[in-house]
Amino acid sequence: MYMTNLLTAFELLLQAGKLQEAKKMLGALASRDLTPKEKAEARILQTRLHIKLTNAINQAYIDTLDASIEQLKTLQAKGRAFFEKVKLAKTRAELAK
Amino acid sequence: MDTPHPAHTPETSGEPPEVKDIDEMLNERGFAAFLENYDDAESFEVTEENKEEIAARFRAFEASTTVVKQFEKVMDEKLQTEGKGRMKPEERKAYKEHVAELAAKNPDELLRLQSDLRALEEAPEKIREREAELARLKESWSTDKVKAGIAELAAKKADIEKSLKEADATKFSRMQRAFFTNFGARFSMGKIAGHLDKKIELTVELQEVDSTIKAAEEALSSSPEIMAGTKRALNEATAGLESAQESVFASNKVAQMVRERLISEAHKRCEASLESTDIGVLQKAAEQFRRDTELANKPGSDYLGFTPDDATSYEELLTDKIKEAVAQGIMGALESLPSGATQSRLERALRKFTELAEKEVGFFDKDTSKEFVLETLRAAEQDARTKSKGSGKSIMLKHLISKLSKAGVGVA
Repeated sequence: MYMTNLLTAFELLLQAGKLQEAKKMLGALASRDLTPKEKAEARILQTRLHIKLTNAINQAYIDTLDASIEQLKTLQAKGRAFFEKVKLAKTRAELAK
Repeated sequence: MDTPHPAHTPETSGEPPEVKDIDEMLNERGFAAFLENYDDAESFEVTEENKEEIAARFRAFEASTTVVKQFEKVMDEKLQTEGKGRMKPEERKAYKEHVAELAAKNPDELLRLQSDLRALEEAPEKIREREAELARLKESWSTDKVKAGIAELAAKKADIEKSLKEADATKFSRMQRAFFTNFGARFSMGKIAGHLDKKIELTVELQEVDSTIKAAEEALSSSPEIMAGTKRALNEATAGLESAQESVFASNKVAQMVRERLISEAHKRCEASLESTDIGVLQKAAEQFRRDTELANKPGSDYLGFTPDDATSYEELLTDKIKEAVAQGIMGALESLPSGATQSRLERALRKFTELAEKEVGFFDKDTSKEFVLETLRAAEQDARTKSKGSGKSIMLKHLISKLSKAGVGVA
């Protein structure tokens, strides 16, 4: 029961993006005095939690990359529109000659 | 977590799984042992009547095999990246037991683990793709090109303004004005009407050029902020990523086992290196120690387990051994050189040691290494002057020292 609650609490932290708190929780789990039965469970759980944490952080990094790509794409689009207008202005000037 | 989950399997497909016969399943290596992980192992019936449950457990067994392989792959990649080889058989066994226990006691958890491992495995590729796209986008954004475009448009703007000024200065005759008042304005005819149309056209063009320049200037001024913001956000995310990757291995039971084994191997290697008198072995030990020390600065990757004092005293001991090996090696090579040997022969005999002048001897930097080799050769030359008088070794050594001192390269 203790482990199930812990896993739920941990996933809630990850969902809320509180990665540092999730990391602290792992630290606390590692240093906690556990019964031998809990220890055996904790070994499995710890590995799982670490993988979950890595995935959450990977995802946060992927999201950051996506946001950055989006920003640069907007900037590029502005640049393209600008160069189109410069080209148009040049053509007009040529025609006016 | 203790409750067994009969007939519960990590299968996700809607297709009914093909059921093997019991013998076939039990002939799969490891399945019988896997069944013993279940809490009901003692009372579990291995009969045709219980075939469905056996098949369900067999699927859990197959799933656990895949998960174990993924687990091992993650760990092996980490170890190989750090030049530490692969896991030992007993370490692989520990992983297997770990996952088998999970499969037997909580198949749902095994299923989630499978999906998380898949996400973990796919993440680097996703990250690589995005990083490449980001780099491409950054590279294709050229501030200079935009600036040049703005300059072109500014020139164009000046032309339009000049034309507008000229248009404003145009004078019309009384007749032209009268024609415009009576017909031109109404029917858009005549010189004044044409003139006004041209002015409107120029004004619109001016506004357009003006707004284009403003938009480009805005994009230009926001670009450093965007680039810096992107860099900052990525740095923060990368730091989190690295520390999480490290923490995956920091408190994992098997990872600890591997680390302990590597530390023990490193200690044995260090001890063995101090027993050697071979310069090649000693040099390699120093190089390895440098790499391990660098790695030890990374959390979770300390495979030395040395305190700073331990490290210093090992470096000192190994340095002394290297100095001794170089000095004895040079003396030995000179002694075994026959009388009447030529300069080339002497240089060939000492090549192994003179080459060190261009490398990093032990923990010395290149300059210190060169000075150390030269000093050792000078001592050998002094020795040859007294002990091997008449052999020409002293003269040849002097020449070698002179060549090494000058450029330091090419003699070896």
